Amino acid sequence: MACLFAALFASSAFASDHNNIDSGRPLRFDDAYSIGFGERAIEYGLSSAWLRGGSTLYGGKFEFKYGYAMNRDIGISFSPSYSSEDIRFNAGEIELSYFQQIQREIDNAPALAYKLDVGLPADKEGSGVEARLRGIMTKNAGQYDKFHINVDAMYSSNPHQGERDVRFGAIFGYSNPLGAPTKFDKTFVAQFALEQGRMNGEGFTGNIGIGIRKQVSEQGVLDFGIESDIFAPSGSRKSPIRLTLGYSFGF
Amino acid sequence: MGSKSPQHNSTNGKTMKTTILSMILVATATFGAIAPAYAHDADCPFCKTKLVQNTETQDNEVVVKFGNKKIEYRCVYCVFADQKKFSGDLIVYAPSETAGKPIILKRTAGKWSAPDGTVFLNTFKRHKDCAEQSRTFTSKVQLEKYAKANSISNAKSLTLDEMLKEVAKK
Amino acid sequence: MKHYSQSLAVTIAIFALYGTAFSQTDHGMHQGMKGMDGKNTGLPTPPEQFPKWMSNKTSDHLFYKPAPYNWSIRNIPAFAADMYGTGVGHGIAYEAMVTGKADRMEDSIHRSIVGVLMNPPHLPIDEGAILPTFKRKYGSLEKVFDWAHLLHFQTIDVLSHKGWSDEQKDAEIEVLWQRYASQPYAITGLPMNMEVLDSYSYSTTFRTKYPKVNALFWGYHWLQTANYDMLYRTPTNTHIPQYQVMGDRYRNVELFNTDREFMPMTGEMSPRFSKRFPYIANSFDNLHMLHDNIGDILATDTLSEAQKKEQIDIAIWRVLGSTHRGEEPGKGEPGTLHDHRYPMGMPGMGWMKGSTDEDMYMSGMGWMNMSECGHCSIALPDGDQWGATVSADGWTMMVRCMLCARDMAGETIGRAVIRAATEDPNQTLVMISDEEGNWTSNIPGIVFLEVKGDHPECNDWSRVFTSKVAFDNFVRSDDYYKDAKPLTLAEWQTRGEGTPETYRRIDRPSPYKKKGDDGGKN
Repeated sequence: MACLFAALFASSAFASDHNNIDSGRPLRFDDAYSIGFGERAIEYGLSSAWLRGGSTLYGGKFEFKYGYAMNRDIGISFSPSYSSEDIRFNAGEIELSYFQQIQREIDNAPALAYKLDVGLPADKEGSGVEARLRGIMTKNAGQYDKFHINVDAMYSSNPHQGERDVRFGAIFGYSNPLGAPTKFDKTFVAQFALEQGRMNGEGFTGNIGIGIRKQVSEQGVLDFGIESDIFAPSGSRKSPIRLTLGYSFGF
Repeated sequence: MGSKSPQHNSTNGKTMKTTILSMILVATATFGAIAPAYAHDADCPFCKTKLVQNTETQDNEVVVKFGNKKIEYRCVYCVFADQKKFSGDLIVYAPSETAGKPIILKRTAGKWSAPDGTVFLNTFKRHKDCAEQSRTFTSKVQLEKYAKANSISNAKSLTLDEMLKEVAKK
Repeated sequence: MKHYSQSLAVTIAIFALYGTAFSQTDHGMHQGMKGMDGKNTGLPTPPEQFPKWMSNKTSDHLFYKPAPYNWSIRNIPAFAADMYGTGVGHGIAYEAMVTGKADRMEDSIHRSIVGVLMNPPHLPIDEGAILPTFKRKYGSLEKVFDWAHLLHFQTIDVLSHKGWSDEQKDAEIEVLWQRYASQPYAITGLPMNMEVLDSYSYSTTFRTKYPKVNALFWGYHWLQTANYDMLYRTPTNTHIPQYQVMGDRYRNVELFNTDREFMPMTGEMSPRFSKRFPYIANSFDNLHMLHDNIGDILATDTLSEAQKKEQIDIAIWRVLGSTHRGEEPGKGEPGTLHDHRYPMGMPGMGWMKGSTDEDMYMSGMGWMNMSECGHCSIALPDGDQWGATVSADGWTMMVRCMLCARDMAGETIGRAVIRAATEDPNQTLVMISDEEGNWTSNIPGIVFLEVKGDHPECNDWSRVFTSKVAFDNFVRSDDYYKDAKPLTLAEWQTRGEGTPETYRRIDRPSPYKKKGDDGGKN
């Protein structure tokens, strides 16, 4: 369950700008821009995932992020969850993240970045370390359309019997600031994500999602997203609907 | 220059200081030994060209009194043309043929009035000439005298109503 | 202000002093031949080396200084909204010019910008998102703009912040400046010769081709510069009423003023702030001139894409702090990129077109000497009894005394604001007048001294006091005033003395006037 949770609430960056897209707020992809040098950010969000079979997984995520150097940020997050199936609380993971931009968009060249997340078990039932290396590309098309590609390699130090220790995933993201330039306070986001199954021999889970990020104050952004697994390897648990509501605050 | 410490309490000292400063100013203006004091250099609020100052022999400044305000215009035409800027009653001190004796025009509750016999000259084509050719006189005779002295051809004497119509036409 | 001879000896001395700096003057400030219009016909050539950061491939986004005053601009909601709206204009225009839509500039682009400025957003807008194409082409320019805009906003936040003393605010603004200047993207705080910066072959192209949009830009540069004297050392509870006057002027007049001959200067619009923080005022002016340069370069059809890129890099380089390192205000060879002279009495302003050692010309205001009272032409006082500022008809001028302030405001159409020193250095008087010159005061019970004398001493005989007690104390201390009667605000405001005998006007044409201009309406 902890593993499933990690997939549902992938680590997120955070910023107080509605047009700066970070994973988890509300979808899974990142854009290739760090938070500002010297910026501190707090993010929290809640999510409910209805799983096939009738159970529901409730999750929360609390993250602190810091732009410790130019084009780089680090973060620490906690991601507890509650499962209606197990009727128990799971402390989840303590996740450490590092983000670095390689280049911004220059002429026709896309912006590039990478991100490393390391998850340490916080729950007594957790074990091993999970890590994810994500390559990120962002490119504008037209005036406001932005496309994002995230490619993930995930590693588990202590896989269960029959599970992969290395898996791969990819996300194709899209964002578009709405109402520009007169009411330029919202960004529409959408994604198509693929993630390799945990078990050896399993295929990919396909997920689509849409969401919105709305600037609600000079420093705060509210986000809402809805996702759905559109296909999954047989025997794995699909989530037909997952809702996310979050808030980000930069200071 | 010109400042005074709070401890200063001598009338004689004040007078002397003022005298010295005044002398410096006069010397400055006369000989240009040091830079003259320049200041805000206003244009006519309507035509944006330079205001023409009064001389010893002829008034040129048209002053509109509006509440506590006194606004200078270049000519009477400019005043009438710009009158919508003011919502209340107006008093206009318009130069006459006699220096120091302006003609007083009034706008009360939106209606203009002028002393009996007042006539207007308004022959200018471009605003560079408006101060000279848009003026107020106590009589037609005075207007004609002014026009002749200033070689203004086709000078026509207008009543207040005619003047207002002229302005409205442009 | 010192007088600078253009003699050979001085020139040689300056060259010796600024050897390094002048080794660059053959590059980024290449003058070329002077054309008939006074412009240089050649294009500026690049320096031997641009700063390394200009070729960085990363975003290099810097965050503002964390502080309790951040976003205090919200204390003045209408002002905050108008300022947020200003983040849009240049972005829309720049993006239009790099995406082949410049032909719509005076129509749909103008309407679009006006739409935002007249219905401003209630939250700041990410300017970068407005101009994605421009940003991809000219990323280093965005870094310079962003960093300067942060200084702009944070200084406003400090001044709008409630609960800090004026001294605390002054100290914090110094800190913000040091922080700003420490970054390679910082624009120099030295005064720069505005005529030089506006005389390249491409200069004035944007304002000539697109006067309506240019008026919007200069209109909000007016707001961005005029607000500082509204905020500086004035009680925070006066900011909203003051902004009612300023905001009306901004939205109804300044945004649509196509008659302005040159961009608004900070020292012109906020003289008191600019005297206190000349380096900040200069950096804002240099920033705004950079904006003008960029618009001119992009609007020049004869430049190739590569030339535009190079000219924009040169324009950035010209105003960077690093380009002028080691140089000093008030010095430098006249008429060059390293000319850091400033007008008499105003260290927070670069040398303007047509300036002499004594006087300068300001668009819409005429010729003036900024070390002197705007009303009576006598030298301005210093110290706690600094006089007053008058904001009316779009300008702000420093005056010596309350009489000068009242009579100057009384000679202008529309509402006005007077900010004045009282006997208490910690209490700045803020008075606002209606259209008819009826004043209201932020300090109840103020009384005035007005014992008409000569203007060289007007700051002595025309004063305001926060109370009758303070008035009595003052007149008791000086026999000259022993018979003086205190004037209430109602009594004082009906007075008027007309033009002072000391007032001097310069009857000289505008240096911006072209041959054939009649300077007014036909």
